[in-house]
Amino acid sequence: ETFRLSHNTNDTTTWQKGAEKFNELLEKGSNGEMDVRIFPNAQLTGGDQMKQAEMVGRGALDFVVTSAINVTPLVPEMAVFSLPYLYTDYDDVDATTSGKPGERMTEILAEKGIVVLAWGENGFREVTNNVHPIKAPADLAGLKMRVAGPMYIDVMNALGANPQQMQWTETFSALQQGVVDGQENPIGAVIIPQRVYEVQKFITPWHYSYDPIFIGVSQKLWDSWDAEKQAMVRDAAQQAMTYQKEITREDTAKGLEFLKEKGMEVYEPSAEEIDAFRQATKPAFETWAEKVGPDLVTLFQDTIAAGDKPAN
Amino acid sequence: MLDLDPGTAMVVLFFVLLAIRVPVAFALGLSSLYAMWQIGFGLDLVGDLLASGIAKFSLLAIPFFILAGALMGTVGIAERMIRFFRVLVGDLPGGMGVVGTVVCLFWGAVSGSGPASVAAIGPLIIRGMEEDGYPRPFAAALVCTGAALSIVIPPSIGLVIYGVIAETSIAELFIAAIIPGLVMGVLMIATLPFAGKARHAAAMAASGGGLAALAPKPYAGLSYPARLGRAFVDAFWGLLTPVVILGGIYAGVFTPTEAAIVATVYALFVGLFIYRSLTVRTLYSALVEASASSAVVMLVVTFASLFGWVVTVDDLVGKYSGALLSMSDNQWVILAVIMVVVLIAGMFMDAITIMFIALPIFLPVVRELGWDPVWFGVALMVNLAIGLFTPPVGINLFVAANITRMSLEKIALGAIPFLITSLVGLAIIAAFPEISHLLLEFMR
Amino acid sequence: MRHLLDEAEKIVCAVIFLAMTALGFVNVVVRYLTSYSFAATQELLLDGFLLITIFGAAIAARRGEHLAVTLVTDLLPAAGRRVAVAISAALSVLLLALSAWYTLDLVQNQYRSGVTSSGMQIPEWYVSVGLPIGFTLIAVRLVQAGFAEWRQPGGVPDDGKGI
Ligand code: NA
Ligand code: NA
Repeated sequence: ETFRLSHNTNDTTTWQKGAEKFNELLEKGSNGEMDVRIFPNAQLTGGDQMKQAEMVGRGALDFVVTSAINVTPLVPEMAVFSLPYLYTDYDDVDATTSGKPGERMTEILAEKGIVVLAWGENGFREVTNNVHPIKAPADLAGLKMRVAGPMYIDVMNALGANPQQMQWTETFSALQQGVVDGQENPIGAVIIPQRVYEVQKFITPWHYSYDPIFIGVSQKLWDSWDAEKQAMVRDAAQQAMTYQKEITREDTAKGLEFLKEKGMEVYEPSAEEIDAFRQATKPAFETWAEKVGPDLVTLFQDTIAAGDKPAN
Repeated sequence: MLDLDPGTAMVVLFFVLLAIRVPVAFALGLSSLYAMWQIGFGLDLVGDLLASGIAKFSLLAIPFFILAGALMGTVGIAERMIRFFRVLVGDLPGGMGVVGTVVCLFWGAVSGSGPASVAAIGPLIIRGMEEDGYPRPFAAALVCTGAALSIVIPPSIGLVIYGVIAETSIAELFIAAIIPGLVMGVLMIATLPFAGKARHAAAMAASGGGLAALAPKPYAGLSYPARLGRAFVDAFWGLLTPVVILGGIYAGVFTPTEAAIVATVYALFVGLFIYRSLTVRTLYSALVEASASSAVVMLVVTFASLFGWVVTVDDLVGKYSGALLSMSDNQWVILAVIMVVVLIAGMFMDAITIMFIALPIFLPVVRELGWDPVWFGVALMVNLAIGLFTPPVGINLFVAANITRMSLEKIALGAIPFLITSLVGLAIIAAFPEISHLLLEFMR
Repeated sequence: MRHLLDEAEKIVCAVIFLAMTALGFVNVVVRYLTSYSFAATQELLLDGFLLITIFGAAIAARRGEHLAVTLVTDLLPAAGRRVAVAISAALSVLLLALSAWYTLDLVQNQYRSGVTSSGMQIPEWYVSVGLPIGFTLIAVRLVQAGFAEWRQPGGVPDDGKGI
């Protein structure tokens, strides 16, 4: 049986590679009885990336690979992952996705009819601009920044920038012509494949917000399988996402070097400088922590804190 | 239905429905729903697809450029602008046909969308060409063809999307597309003798380079520089339009889509405060007409999104192009096959949908054969521009039919000469990558 | 009242279109001159775009402006042409009814799932409820125009007054 898997990036990204890996493992695990056909660019939903998850939820699509930010209109709690400076590094991220917070998010998505099989990675969002290197919050004052959603508007306002919501198709020429000064996105997932370096001079890998991806399957389909099949599908998804996370992190690590070669000026902030950004974005953190639910945020924070303690 | 796969059955049904005069938009919708029902998947997505297909951000410039066009016509901006070009180059053989082509190229540097350009400058060029002795369908076809070059000449929404999908420099694409755009313009002028009964320079000189509709102030008896000066002064606010729009885009004040809004406000401003020709009544009527015209186009785009969905899911392009691509190892044959597939796709779908469906199939071929993606993108864009005026789904034709109240097929027939020369142009641009590289090399 | 009913979609389109122009322009000016911006501009413009498309399509349906190919039917005698007109109108109405049905289903889904817009974070169905209403209105206008043409059959008007 061939199932349909939808994701919203193009067919050269690590999302696609993760989906292909999933297909490969699924075929192998089911002795060729199950596979998926992958539809990139949100083709099945007419290009609408927000709709994929909703359609999986009501059983109109089988599988989805999408990121937390794309699901927030349907599941507002998903915004918790991208709260500014919730995470410091990959260890923090892995502690939450593989621990209680990941389970809690899985429960919340299940209420919408989506069974989360495994978590992968879109990456930390880094800031680029054309005016000057961003080393401190004051450097953002008055910069026109293109952002992706309402939380980022509050974050940019907290930093004194002038946030602009703009469709991605317009952003490239807007950056080129100076309609906006900068933008923020993951390196491996957007800045490199979408050639943002062609039109931006400065990048600061400030790790201010994180975006995970996940493989989800519709509850209807999931419930139609016996425990053995469910275990096989889940295993395939987890291996695929582990692989996807690995190649994404590799690409990101190599990415900064690549961006330097392409003529971008990279400013890597120190721990103290990061902390200044963290303090400046606190008001936005508080506002959005309230919106996504303080209990949920606490669960994430506690898990991160526990992971940061040296093992006894 | 016979023994056809759902995608092929859809195409056949679409033509049957067209033949019994079902409007294009509804024929697209009905044939797509039939195919979805056959595939057994997708009917529960129809609501979502209609909702996302009806208002795409990439097409937001269309209603605004249509409104701007309506207002520029109403308040007299476009008329004065075209009169200037008429005095400037109207005495050349071909008269208003040359003027129309030059205006189209000029406007291409303002607008990134073909149908929006038809709406903005079409009515006056067509009227002027008609008064100059050109048959109306030929004039409408010239506008459809010339306005299609708006997606070749930068700024171009199409090139931006290609650059993103193909991971190619958009800045280079923009520069590379300029000369091919001009080549296409020259070929359009070469098409003019095919109009048959165009009047020529002598007749126009006798009328003082001015037509009844386009020259309320007689320039007769004046020398060329004096006529030109007068026309320039008269047309000043109109000629300033591209300066305001391009200046605004390149100075980073607004985006290409916002430029359409600024053009609308500019027309309102000139109409209200400079020419004082705009009234509440004419404004209301311009708003209503622009809504209806834009809706006619957008409803086709909306139902075409269902059609495109079936083409994707049924892998129609892959099925047919896979067979075609396996026919030969010769790269010229492969290039020709790709171009023919895109031309055929261009008959049914809009440029952006085609890129999303077909590029994942063609780009690996481009990479494998080591072709330059910039040149390929430019050739592709010229091809997609042709698709804007080929029936049955040619958005430029739709807008032109709408503003001229002529039937689709009349304009499509008128477009045959332009289609032929455009195909020649496409062949030249595809066969000689040097044309696309010329300006790039010069700038390096 | 009768007049108002006939003009309803025209007034809706004119008001929305003018508001869209004003909003889009003010956004450009404010962004350029100040450090403020309206986060919701893009979303409001798209909502307006959706509404002027659907209601503008009703205007066009009333006037018989939706583009069709008359090449084949023009070859038919008057009686045959009438039959073609009736069939094509019936099929068009069928499609619009289906479209209204499917978009109503969409509205119900959105209402149930509580999905919100990404910019303003208002429920999605607030805007999409215009779709089933609009498709129904287009069908009504199409029927009105169909009856008018049934009495006086002809193709797409080519009266030379188009420009
Ligand atoms: Na252009
Ligand atoms: Na076409």
